[in-house]
Amino acid sequence: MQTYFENVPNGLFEKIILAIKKERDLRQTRRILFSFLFLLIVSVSTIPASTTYFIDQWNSSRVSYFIAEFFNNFQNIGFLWQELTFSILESAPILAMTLFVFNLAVAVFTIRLFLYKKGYILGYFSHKN
Amino acid sequence: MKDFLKWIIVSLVLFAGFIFVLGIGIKIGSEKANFSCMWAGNYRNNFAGPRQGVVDNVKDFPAQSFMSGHGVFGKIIETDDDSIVIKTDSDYERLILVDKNTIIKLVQENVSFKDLKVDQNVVIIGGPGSTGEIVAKLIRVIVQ
Repeated sequence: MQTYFENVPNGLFEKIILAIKKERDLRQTRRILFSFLFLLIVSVSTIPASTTYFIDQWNSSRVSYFIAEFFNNFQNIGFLWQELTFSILESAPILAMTLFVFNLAVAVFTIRLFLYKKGYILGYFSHKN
Repeated sequence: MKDFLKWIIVSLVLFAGFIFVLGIGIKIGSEKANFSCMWAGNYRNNFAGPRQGVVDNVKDFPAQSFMSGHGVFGKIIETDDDSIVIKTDSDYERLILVDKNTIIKLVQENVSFKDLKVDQNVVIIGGPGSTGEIVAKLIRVIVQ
């Protein structure tokens, strides 16, 4: 049976497939690299602000005093547990804690992305050079 | 099928967790709002002030200023026979009632009510009373 590829020189088909695969890999690497850079910029630029905000809110809420009372009053815990729990929950800086933990999660995810995909990311720069 | 069941279990657990956290948030929020409402409505009786209290309508009360009725930190500004008034960091007066069951501590030692003095910093743990005061179960004098 005659096919369209009958007159194609030996190895050209494999070369084309390889070139397509390389281009696809390069595109995927570029996407990973941009995701990594975006997350890196976001986490690096927001972590100092969210940490400062968290520390300020933590100190001004005085929640550390209530947590300390929880540990200092083990002998009275049966008498005080409900009030102590409410004191801690009511004074905890929830918004600041949420922002801080979210930022920390983004930073850890960025580090994980780098560790898992460092071959791709570093390979992209060596390919460029 | 196995994966599908796994996702159903994970979704149910996440949903239960979400409902639990939401429930705690609602409970804490309503406790703070109720206490703040009682505090504002009884301000005149407790501390002397405007006849209608400091806030006419609970909707006017700034949400970020809703106050805890269980734990408070502040400086003693007045002592009475069975109560103290403290000033918090946010410049609100809080009336603290003391009864015979209240534990009063200075560092690790138990002290008596008479040992509480104006200008001392104290941590109060207790429960909300019916007129915007806190009925103290534990008072700890903070030595700074």
